Amino acid sequence: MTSKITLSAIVALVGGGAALTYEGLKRWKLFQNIHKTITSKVVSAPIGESVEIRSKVFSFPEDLTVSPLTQTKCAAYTWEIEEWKEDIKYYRPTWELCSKYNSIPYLYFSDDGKELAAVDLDQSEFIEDIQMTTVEVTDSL
Amino acid sequence: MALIKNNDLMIVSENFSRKYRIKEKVFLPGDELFIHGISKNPPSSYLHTILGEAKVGRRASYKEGEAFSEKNYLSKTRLFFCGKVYLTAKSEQEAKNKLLLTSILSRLTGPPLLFWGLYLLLSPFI
Repeated sequence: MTSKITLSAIVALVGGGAALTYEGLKRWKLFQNIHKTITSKVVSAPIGESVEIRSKVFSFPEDLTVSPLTQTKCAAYTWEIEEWKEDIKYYRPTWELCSKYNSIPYLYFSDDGKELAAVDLDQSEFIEDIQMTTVEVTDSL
Repeated sequence: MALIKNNDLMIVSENFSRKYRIKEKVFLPGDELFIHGISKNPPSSYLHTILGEAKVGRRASYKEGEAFSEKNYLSKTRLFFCGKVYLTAKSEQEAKNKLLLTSILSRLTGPPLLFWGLYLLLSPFI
């Protein structure tokens, strides 16, 4: 029994260490990539390369929508739906992503120029959350 | 039953068989964001999607036959980001600082844990 616990602890140590190392290297690579890339304008940004732009969310006034949870008039909203899963064997309860929903497929950005940048929301990843509200729902959705 | 706790809306039903959490992110017009990714020309799938949406209407709130403005976006779009795109509301410097800090912390703690874990795991065989 004791050896089983010890073995589990060692495996957890190896797994945790490997995960942390991988995450650290991934973040370092992203940091290097962001650090090396010069911030450009939408009009002058090169195509087919790593690009960095700082711009504002753009939407025509008639395309604004209302987010269902916070009732905010916005250009777009995204939902991440997570389900509470409890692993009975090891008792590791976690929130598991089960579905994603975007109110629009592409989010548009403008930096006061006449041209726009479109971002595929399905593929995007957030370094910092923008304005996030968490809602917990039990039973089925 | 709906509860409001720390400005978060929580909906709790009578049946506790399954539990879900919804995270909602809202993009307001004029929100300044920092975007990092590989830029591309709008691909044909994007054009098809946009044209398809322009045809059928993107949102349910649009009335049937109502003129849709998605075509206006299409004509203005120069850059297209797909694949991994990183968005942040913080300044570039703040985003970089956070990445650097978490990267260093992970790299400082990860390898020693991995080393000792492997050492303990393999020690009976050495």
